[in-house]
Amino acid sequence: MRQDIVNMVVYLYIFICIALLLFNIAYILYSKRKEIHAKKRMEQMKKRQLAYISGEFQNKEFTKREKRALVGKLKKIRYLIAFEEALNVCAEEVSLKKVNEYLVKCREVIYETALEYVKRPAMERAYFGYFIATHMGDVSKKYQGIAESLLLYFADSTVYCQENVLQAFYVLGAEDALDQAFGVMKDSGYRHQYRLISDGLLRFRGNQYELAVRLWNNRRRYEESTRIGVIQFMTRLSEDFSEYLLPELAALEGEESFAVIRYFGSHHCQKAEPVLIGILQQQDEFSVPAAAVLANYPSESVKDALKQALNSPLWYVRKNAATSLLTIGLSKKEQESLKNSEDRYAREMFLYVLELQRKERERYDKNDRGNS
Amino acid sequence: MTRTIVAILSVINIFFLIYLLIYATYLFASVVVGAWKLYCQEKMRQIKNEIRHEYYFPISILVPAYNEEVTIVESVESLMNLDYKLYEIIVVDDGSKDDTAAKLIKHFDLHLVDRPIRKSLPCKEVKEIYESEGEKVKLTLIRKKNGGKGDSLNMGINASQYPYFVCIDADSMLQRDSLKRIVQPVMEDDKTVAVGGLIRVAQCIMLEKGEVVGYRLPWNMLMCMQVMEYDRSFLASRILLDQFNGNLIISGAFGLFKKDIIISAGGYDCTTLGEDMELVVRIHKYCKNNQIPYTIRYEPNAICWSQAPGSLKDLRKQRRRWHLGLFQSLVHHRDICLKNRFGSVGSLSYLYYLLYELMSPFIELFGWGTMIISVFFGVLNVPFMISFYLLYALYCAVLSITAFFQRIYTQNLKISRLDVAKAMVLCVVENVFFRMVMDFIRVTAFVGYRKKKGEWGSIKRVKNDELS
Repeated sequence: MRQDIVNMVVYLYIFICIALLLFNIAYILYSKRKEIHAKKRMEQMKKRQLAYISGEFQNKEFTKREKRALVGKLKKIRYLIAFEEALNVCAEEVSLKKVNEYLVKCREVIYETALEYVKRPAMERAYFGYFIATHMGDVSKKYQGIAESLLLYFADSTVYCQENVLQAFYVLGAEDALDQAFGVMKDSGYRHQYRLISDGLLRFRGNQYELAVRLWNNRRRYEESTRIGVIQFMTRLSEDFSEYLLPELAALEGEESFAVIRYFGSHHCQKAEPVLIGILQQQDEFSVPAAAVLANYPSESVKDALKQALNSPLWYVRKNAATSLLTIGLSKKEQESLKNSEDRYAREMFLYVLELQRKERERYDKNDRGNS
Repeated sequence: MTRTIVAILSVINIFFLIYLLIYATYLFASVVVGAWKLYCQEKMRQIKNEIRHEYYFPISILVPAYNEEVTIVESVESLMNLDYKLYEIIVVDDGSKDDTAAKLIKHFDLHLVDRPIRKSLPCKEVKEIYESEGEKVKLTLIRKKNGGKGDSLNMGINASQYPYFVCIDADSMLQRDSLKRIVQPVMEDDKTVAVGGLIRVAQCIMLEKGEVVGYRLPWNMLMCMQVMEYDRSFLASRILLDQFNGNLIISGAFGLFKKDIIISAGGYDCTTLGEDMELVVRIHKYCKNNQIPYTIRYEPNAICWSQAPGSLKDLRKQRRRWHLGLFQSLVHHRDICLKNRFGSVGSLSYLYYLLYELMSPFIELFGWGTMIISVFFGVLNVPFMISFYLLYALYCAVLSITAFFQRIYTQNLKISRLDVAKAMVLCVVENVFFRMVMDFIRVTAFVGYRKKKGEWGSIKRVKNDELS
């Protein structure tokens, strides 16, 4: 009896394994077949698109029936992929300008398709977001309204779906949608990497200054990582946001405070100097970036604070303080005094950074001579 | 008396049946889940469900090296050309007796510096520090007193300047996109504190500028069988354990870690032979004990090509070290076993590693002993036993071959018909003979344990361009 059970189980497993092997083989064959079909679909789409771009229908608009037929196809992911690939081929073979004109003609079709994809799984919604982000940049004015539909994609979504849809908002210049999306992301408990957000916002095709101010004003509705992304975005813009960020510098709290301190390293603001010195003297984790950004504030009081910071128990504070002091510039007497400091840790760090800077200068001079 | 022995043997029989059925089910589940996950990943990649970004965050690559003069220059050279914007390389020469440091200093024109190191983690004393000048990627060589791999990695962590670090073996090579791939789980979820990469056998490939330009199974049988074994383990078992954050091992050959968590958890243990596993178990414990939300992920698309031992002698040294490392880690962290607080890590993962990795050679040996006694008492059904063994071997072989081809397919590698034939034969040989050899090595690993428990043993290295 026991033998029978064991035999049965083992045979069952072997059967499943062989089925798995067969599935693998079948899948490989199916994939090859799928590739052929995908190519055929792309060719069909291309033919159709070319007819509207440079062929018999180039001066015609879509009829209702044609629109319905195209929406019917595009709501299936495989046809949307073919449509997207065909657009790339047409842009190469004809011109990007003509393809953009065609996309304007397709406006209603794409709008309807966007709504169809709300019902699709997150990975397909992600692809639709990618499609909009890739192709609608040059015709964004005609596609502003689509952002409303794309906002619905955030419900029960994945990180890929969120990222692709945010990318679509950046190229569409959809300020409202971004503001709402960040709010929805917080409400849904999604945490998006701040680097993705800050770099994405720099691709925003609209008034970046206005966007930054709006996002800053509404930041309390966003998740912490989004807030950090927004501050990093502000840091990388040339405009001055000191009046917004200065009050935050005085009340350090959480991860975003590091981003706020770094902002004042890139954007000089005299009013920030005493606050930064205060942070440096606190001798905590915030002193590390403060020691680095004070390199941008050359004054005697900053020098004194940095010299003191060389004796800090925190390794990175000592390192950044030494680097900042040398960036600001020290007289020979000051250098000698620091080289002979009684604090061994301060002395070692200063000597190391001094040596690094000397080598850097030598390399720079060598390259300079080589170029001239 | 005889009746009692027969009764005992019956109980033992039942134990073995249950033991094997659980293992067979585990193998099956791991291959099915592994195959399904890889299929989904491939599909997602096709429809642009991936994070595409030019720059993620800076990474420090730590390369502990002990007597690695044969491969070190080539390995570091390959690390210099990775497709990643900002990273540094720190080679820690763990008191090598050969020319490891001299070769690096000469080849990369390194200069002696007087650099203070922040001692966040305890490690042996620094002898000298060298740095490169003007290279695209900053290279640091730290020469220190011998203290073992864990000690070297702790030194590397102390000297690293970036928030994440990757540890890699000195004889391993990364594909150009490996760093980009291994950071993906962190970009997707910033609770990720460690990511393991996929380790594959370097002797199978030709690598040019970080790209695989050819793949073939080596003629060395031992290496071939390790190829099958690695594929089954990394493509099946680890993907399954990854589903419930239950991986207890990130190979020391290639893994990414969040530095502040590792420092808080106490860094690498320098007293164990399995410092890679010990660290991962400790991260689990540290995060659970401190209620830190975390995930430890496995990324099968981040690939590291590592040299597999080519001789039985070297293989024995490697596997002895692995098995003792496993033993030390499980004994050291026995307090997580079946504790509610540690969830599936303390139950499923721990028990799996205990019963099916650490104790399996002893259980199998016990099985052979029981068989002999059963024959003696005439209670063994020999035809059944033979057919059962053959079926079981066939079953394992089918799973191995499935995992092997799954990988070939998902990585778009082209292999010859000869290699297909080789793989078919070897998957059977691996499950019948290689397994026994491995069991023997693992059982005898404990011989002389007290005397040699800290010894790594050296393994013959071959220059990477002479591998295939």
